[in-house]
Amino acid sequence: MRAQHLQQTRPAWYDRSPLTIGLLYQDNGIPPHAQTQRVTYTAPANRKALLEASTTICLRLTAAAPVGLVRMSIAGTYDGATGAWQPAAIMLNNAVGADGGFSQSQQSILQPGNNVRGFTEDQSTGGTVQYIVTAKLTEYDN
Amino acid sequence: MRQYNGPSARPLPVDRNLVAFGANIQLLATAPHAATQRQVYTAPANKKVIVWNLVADAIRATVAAPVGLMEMYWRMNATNAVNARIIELTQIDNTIGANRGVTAFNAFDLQATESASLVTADGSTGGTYNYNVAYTVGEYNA
Repeated sequence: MRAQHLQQTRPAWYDRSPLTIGLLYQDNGIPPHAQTQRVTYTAPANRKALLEASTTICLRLTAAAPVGLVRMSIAGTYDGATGAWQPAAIMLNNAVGADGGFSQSQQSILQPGNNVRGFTEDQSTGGTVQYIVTAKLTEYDN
Repeated sequence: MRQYNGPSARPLPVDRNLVAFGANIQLLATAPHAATQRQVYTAPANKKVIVWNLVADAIRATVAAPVGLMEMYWRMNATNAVNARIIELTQIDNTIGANRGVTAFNAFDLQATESASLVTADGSTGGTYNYNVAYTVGEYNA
């Protein structure tokens, strides 16, 4: 007898009990602060998640004195990769209306237990910045 | 990027009564306003949706006095998506022609009956913006 595999008949990921997941943090006018985690998502046991869209935006609303570095990111912790930045925005500009770029990520897949986390940070003294950290995922059976 | 399995238990989306269409929403010479929902797209019952393309732009048409924060975004309305934003524009600029534009990097999915909506806001006093968003989607049997 010769053992043979049949062709795979497993449903595609979008047919394996898909569930939409969203993350959103927005603050219009937050003062300087140390690096702070704003949102987080962890793929549950026996589920994977497709990170389909994620965006980070920062925009200066009022001037600082003096200005410092503004940073924000969505960091993914995957098997064998810790805290890899996906979208990230960095700004060192004191002009009202200055922005740190509009960063979007490509797709990635979270295995069970993998996570994504959104952070903001402002090393200025005074002044305020608008932050938006958002992501859309689809979770499905592993 | 869209990821497919190989041979699968079910036909691919393109073979599941796929219906494709697009929409273009244009708002010209729009005065300042609080956050306002402009258009809603809802995935039909018993259908899943791939959003293939999503683009948005906003351009200052006339000056304000004084200028304020402009925002424009396409947000998820799904229960689990906490209004995650697929695309987002934000700007403080009083120059005629100052613009923001973005294209979603990836295709992404909506589950049956989930919806997404276009929202604009302009915190200026006086002055106007032109807003435009366009998308193409494919609906297929869930």
